[in-house]
Amino acid sequence: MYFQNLKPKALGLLVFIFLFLGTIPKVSGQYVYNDNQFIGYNGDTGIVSISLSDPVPVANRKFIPEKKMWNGPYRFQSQHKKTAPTWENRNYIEIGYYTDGIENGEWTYTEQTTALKIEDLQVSGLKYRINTVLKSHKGNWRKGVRNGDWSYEVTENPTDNKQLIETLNYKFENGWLNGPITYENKREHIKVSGQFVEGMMVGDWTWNYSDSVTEHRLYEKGVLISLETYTKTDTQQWIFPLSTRCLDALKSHDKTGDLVHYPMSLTFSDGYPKQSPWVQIQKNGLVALEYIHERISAFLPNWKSEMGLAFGTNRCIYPLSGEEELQLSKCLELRQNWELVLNHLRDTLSLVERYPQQQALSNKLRLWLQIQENRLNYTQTWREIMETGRLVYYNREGQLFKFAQDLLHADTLHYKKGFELIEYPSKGKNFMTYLVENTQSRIDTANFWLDSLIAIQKRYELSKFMLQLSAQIQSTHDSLLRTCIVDTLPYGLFYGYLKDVSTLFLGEAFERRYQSFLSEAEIQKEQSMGDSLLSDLKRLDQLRYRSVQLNKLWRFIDTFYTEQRIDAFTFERLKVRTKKRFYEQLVSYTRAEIALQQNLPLSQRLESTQSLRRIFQSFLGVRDRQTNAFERKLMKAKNHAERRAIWESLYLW
Amino acid sequence: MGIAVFMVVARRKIIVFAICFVAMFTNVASQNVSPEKSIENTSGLWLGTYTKYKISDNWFYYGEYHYRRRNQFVKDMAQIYLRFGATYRHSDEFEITGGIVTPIYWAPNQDAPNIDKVVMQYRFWEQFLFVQHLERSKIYHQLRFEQRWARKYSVGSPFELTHRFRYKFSTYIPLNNHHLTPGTYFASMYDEIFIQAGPSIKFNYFEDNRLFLGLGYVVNENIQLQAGYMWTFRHAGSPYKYEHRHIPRISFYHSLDLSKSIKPYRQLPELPEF
Repeated sequence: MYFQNLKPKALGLLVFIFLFLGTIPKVSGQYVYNDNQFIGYNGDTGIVSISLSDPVPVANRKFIPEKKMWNGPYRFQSQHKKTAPTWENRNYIEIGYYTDGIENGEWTYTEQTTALKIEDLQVSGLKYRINTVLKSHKGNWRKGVRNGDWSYEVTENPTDNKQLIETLNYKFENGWLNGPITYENKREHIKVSGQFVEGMMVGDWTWNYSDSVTEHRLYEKGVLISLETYTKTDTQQWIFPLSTRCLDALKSHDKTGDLVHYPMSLTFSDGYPKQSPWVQIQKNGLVALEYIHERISAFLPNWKSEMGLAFGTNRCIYPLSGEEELQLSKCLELRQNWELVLNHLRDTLSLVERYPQQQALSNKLRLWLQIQENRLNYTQTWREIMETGRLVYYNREGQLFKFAQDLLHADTLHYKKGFELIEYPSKGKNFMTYLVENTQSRIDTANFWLDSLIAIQKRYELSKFMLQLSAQIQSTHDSLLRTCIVDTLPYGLFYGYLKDVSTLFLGEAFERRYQSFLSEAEIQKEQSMGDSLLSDLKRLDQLRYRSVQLNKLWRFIDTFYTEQRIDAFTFERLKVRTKKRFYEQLVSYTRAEIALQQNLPLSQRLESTQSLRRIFQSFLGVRDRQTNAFERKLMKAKNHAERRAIWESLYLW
Repeated sequence: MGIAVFMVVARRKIIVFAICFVAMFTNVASQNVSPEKSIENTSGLWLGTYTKYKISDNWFYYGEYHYRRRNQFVKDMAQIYLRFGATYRHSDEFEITGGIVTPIYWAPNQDAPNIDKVVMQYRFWEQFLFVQHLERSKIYHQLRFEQRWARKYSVGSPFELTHRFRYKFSTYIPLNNHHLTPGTYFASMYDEIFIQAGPSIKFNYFEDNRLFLGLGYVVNENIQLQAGYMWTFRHAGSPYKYEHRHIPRISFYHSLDLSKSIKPYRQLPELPEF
């Protein structure tokens, strides 16, 4: 019907158009894909309507038939979540256009949320209303990048009692925020206006907070030059200190110069420390900037993750010198050592803390450790900056250096009564040198205290050892008095070995040595005295034991070299000594040997017992052997030493 | 069992001898009344060496070697008296000895005619020795029997067999010690009675009674010395003739252990290690 009404010329035009379009392959397979379980970018499940075309694979689009290209209008509408309450509703609608699989043209992102809003609770009942919030984000895309005017609005109750809560208007150019920006948040009473050049905040920026505070900032190439605040009663002006390098970069006609020319932060810093007023003063406006940053990426999570910081302040680049590069790696290494030594110190301190005498030192070190921990935490950002190679974006000679000096030059330990300053002297004239020297100085301090703690620990251990040693000495002495001297030995031949020990090693002599051991102040000398005393007592005990054993052995020899005989005439039972001469020679030698040992050191007495034991054992073995030659040799011996040699040769028989 | 029986027999014999001993004195007392009875006092000196050499666990060689003088103690030679024997020691309470004796007698009157100045005598002898152990000392009961072939001094006189029975009751009492160990002084005393018998013995069955008191010293486990005085009362050869002899005696006792018996094994004690 339609074609019948057309004129032949028009019909021919139509045919031409049709034929022309027919020669374009991509249009040939155009159709619309509908899916009511489509998952949108925001994770919403909903109904999608996408215009698709053949061929060209679009592998990065999920849930879409492969080898189809998004081409043409696009619409997505989320479905109401079944789990959500009926009086809460959220509708999200995306309407846009794809060209060859990428966003192109005008897009609208709209979210409408409906919620029950309780306004008052009275006896008569609940006063409530249904509150609807409409968030709308609109703007233009060109070939997949944002380009053109964009706006963001938040409206409450858009149908009956419309209230515009937030408005944001800004511009993109080739993906960069470029051009003026205005933001108003009526609920927070914030107004911001300014402009961007390629994401950098430039020119005058104005903030109004709470309708009473106005803030002006002057940015140049993303660098904050000045900040003024006006209240009804007060005006403050802040001129931001900039490094020469930074100033030169600003003066340069070159667009970037030594500047990074990339949004580095919403807060400007030319090496300003976090706590410096230059950072702190920017905090008032930061909230609004964060709002803005949040809003410009509203409903665009992918874009946000791809773009990172869409706008912000600029930085100057401060390349690292060769020395600084060395210091950088050293600084990181030292920092690690600092942490290790602090841990070590903490562990050792927990051991020493048990001793009540060390309470003051423990408290002091606990305070010091706490400060070090704070310093480590505080400078954690520095470490991250260094590790990620971002140190070049920080002016290391200005504020940061001074701040580092202020922060790290000393620790103040506050006690209940007074305080103590612990300084870390450093001659470093730049940030990195200072940091390296300061960290090293802190490590040295920690090591010093660690050594002190270890020394204390050792001293306590040693004193514990001394206590044990003295107890051991006392008990050994008592035991000796009890067992050997009193009970056993006065009755034996070998008591001679111990005859004079009471005067030399026990009784008053022992008490004198013991007291001087106890009262010795020098720890090493004390230990040496205690060891010597204990060692003598142990030798004495050993001598006692050996003497007892020799007594037993001697008794056995006596028996072994004695025979029972019945007298031929009298029938008397007689004990007859076997090898009487040989036996008597041993007796006289033994008596002489014991007599010789008196007044000699215990060690020599012990050697003598050893020698006698060997001789006695050998003596037992030759009872039934011919020993006349041996006896003669002994008789010819001129002195005791010769006799000893002869007797000891018996061991080899 | 055998020993017990033997001991009983021995005790009975001791009693018999004791009765004879008492009877003898009774007899002597009654005879003293007789005017014909004469008692002579003589003296002498006896030197003796006693040896006992152990040759095995229970066997000993026994030897006595006496040199005896008489008349005024040492004036005349009396005897050389050699006794040899072998001893079997049964136990610490009993031993038996047997052997020979070869005494050589010198005639009392050397100038008498038709006599052999020195005559030999031959004897066998047996001895049983019982030892009674007391707390401090011991009592020895010695029974000795001898078969003697003796002859008179007259030239050509024949050897005649007589028997002699001796019982000796002796003791040693240690003086400076509890036992007779080397270095001990002791008192020695004994009494020995001699009874003889045989075809030629007509009236003098009682031959001799010897009482000895002395002092001894144990030099060592092998040597003892004894010196003492012995009084003997004996029949002097005719029915009414008796003799009191006063004889100092010096004796040397020597013992040796010649046995090379294997010494009993003795386990060594656990020797100290140091």
